[in-house]
Amino acid sequence: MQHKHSALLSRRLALKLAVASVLLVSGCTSMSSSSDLDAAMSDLDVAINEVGGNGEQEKLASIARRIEARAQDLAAKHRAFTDNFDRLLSEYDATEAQLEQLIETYATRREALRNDLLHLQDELHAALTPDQWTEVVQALNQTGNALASYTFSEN
Amino acid sequence: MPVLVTIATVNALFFRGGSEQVSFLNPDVLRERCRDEIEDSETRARAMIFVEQLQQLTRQYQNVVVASIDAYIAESVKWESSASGLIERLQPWDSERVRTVQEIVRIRQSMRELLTTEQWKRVFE
Repeated sequence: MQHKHSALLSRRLALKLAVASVLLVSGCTSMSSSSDLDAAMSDLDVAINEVGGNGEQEKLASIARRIEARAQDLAAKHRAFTDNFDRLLSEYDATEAQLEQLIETYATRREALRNDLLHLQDELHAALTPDQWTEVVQALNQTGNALASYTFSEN
Repeated sequence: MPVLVTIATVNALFFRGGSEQVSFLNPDVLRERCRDEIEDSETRARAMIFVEQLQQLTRQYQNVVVASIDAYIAESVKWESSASGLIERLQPWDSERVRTVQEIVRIRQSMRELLTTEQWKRVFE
């Protein structure tokens, strides 16, 4: 009975880690300097800190840590781009070439980091069973439904 | 669990934190500044047209972001999804995002050609 309870808790934690990781990746497909991204990272940290010596959890936690590091990098790059872009746009002496260069450099870097995150999502995916993935994507679907409501209210 | 994280990020994309600071990324404040700092003239009327175009572009950027999240979710929920499939699906939105930002630069260049140095300084400083 105790073993069954422990296995259930372990499975729940694995799912919590996977869901927190995927939601963080989903936030990074959009990108912003929003503090909500920090909140997503905090949720992921909480899940990582709950990990015990369980092999499955350790593997997921390792992927989650790499997702978090990439997400932080991406958020910092986006923040720097938005600030620099905003400043240059308002500077009378800034040239079109300078602005184009800034856009191109950021776009290349953003796509590379975002693609790294998607590859990490692949690793996460590979570490889960189809049943576990189904539970993870329920959280993504909730995000999708909220997105639909948001889009509807905007239009 | 912050399931609304992506929604918040969409809102925050070009929103300059509720700041009253004038910016090409904050067309509402820019509109007010043009109205206050440029005398009633053909120049002001044209500047207002550029501001409206900027407003449309910031909305367009948000729509592109929403579409890319939508595409990401639609692909990710499939058991057979993969990074390469996701990247392929997101690529058109990446290009659209860059095109929209480049268009903001074009509007900025038109504004620069329209305003005198003094008018520019009054609006942006």
